Amino acid sequence: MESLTIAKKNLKLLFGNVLFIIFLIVMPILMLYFMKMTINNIDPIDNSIGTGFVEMVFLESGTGDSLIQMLYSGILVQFLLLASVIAGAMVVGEREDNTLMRMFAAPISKLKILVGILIAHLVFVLLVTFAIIAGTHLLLDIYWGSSLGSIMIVALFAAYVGTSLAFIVSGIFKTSKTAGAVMSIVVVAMTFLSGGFVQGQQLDTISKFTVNRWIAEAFVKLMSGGVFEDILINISILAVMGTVFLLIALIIYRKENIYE
Amino acid sequence: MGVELKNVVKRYRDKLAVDNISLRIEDGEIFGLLGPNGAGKSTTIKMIMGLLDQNSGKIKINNMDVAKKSLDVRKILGLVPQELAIYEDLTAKENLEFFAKLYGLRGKELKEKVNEALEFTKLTENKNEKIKRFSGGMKRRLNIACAITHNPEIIIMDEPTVGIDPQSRNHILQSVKELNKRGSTVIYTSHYMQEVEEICDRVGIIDHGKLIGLGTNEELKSQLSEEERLVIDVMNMKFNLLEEIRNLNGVINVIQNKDSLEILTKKAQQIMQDVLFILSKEDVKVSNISLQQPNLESVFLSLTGRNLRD
Repeated sequence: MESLTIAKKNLKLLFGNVLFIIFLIVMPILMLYFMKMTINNIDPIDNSIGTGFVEMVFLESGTGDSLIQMLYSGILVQFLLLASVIAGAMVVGEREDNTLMRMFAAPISKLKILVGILIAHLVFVLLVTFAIIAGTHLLLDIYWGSSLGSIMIVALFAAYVGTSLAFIVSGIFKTSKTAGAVMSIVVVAMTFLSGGFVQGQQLDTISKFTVNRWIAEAFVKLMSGGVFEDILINISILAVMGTVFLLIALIIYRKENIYE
Repeated sequence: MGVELKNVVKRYRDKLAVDNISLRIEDGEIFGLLGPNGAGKSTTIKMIMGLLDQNSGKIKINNMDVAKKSLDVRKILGLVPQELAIYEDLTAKENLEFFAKLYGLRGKELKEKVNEALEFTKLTENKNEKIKRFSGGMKRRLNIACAITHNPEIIIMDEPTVGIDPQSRNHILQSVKELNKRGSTVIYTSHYMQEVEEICDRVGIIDHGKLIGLGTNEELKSQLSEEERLVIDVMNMKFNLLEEIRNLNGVINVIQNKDSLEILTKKAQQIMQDVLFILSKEDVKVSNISLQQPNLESVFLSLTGRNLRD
């Protein structure tokens, strides 16, 4: 019950920041719009877009549907994880504002407090994902797959992993600026290692240890007509990753003066 | 019943923050914990709240061991932290409702208690305003309201008047007395001697983590029954004279304030002439001389050889 009270309060604070919500939803839609425009201009014969000073050429992967789906899902994953950065920054912000100490002084366990924050972020990321999916589908006619439920389940697990990771970072770093910066670096590094910026065989093995890979792959599977059974492996791996991160966070949060 | 600390020790790595403190706070009293910054007051408070574990010793509240039953203990406690601990982006009412819900208040009871807390802190008219629009004093009052909404048996206030205007300070001190009249035990930490002297039934004086004095104001001051406080208001004090005054026979200690000297002595009449002579050597202008009874500041000075504000 207390966890829900914390979740409700956090949702109120999260949705109170209208500019940030607009950024989180509009930015990926704009990026996907420009990407779609670029892809539509690709010359099917030589794989290039060549009417200006700069000529873009898609190498190796070609212009097939899989590449487009990968690019689309990459952007979505990036913003899902960006939303998790806020989870970390929000916990540190509560510590800076002393409200975390006040919560810890109440007759509820640390676990319930963390669960409350986690619930808020799961709901927040789900709503943001839904808005991006709906917006890009209606405005840009992007096809994300036939099962909205499966897409939301992937988003849910993505939020779970991202928020748990954010708990670790917020437990280690004491200021919201540092925690936010570290989380951003982690997200960008994982995007790079998962092949979000560069394609190639050499990153394939490393990418298996990144969160991005399993989320993006799940989205691609769904976009290619896959069903829930096809993404079970991805969800299972994300669930394990999230639980391991959460357990590590709980160990860090056992430190007695973690609220300071 | 009440709060009991037995041989409590707290270390931060090599630093001894609380050094073997034992004391008992009875039900219904206002207990003051007086000491300079860094003396160990906040650490003691946090251990009573169960927010910090002691390295050794026992803390019991209403016969419950804080280390073993911290969640049960917290139900009867209310903490007013030294720093503001409220959500700037929520309204006063939302803040109160949120924290009260963490103590299990729901429905009609929640509504009533929130209204009572708003009324008590005179924030009813501003209940739907966001905190970021509040003045510093209003925020302080809300900080207190958040700690009392659930009607705690014991209210712990950690330097609640730091950095606020005199009017808000008076309001807070009156509130403490009123809360005590309504039946709450209050533990009040401060480094302002006047506040503690004004509102507390008993006082514990803490320095370098040690409890160096314990008793009522009168009991503590009676330790200095033979001592007097000679207060000399000066206009252009020369610091090099302090040592000379300290070395006078019969002077226990000297505090130098902005425009005055406070001399703790057993022979006020005898040393007065010597002090004035020393001051006149450097042309220090004296505007007033008074002989006063020792206060808690004098007690602290006598016990530690230092000013509370050092």
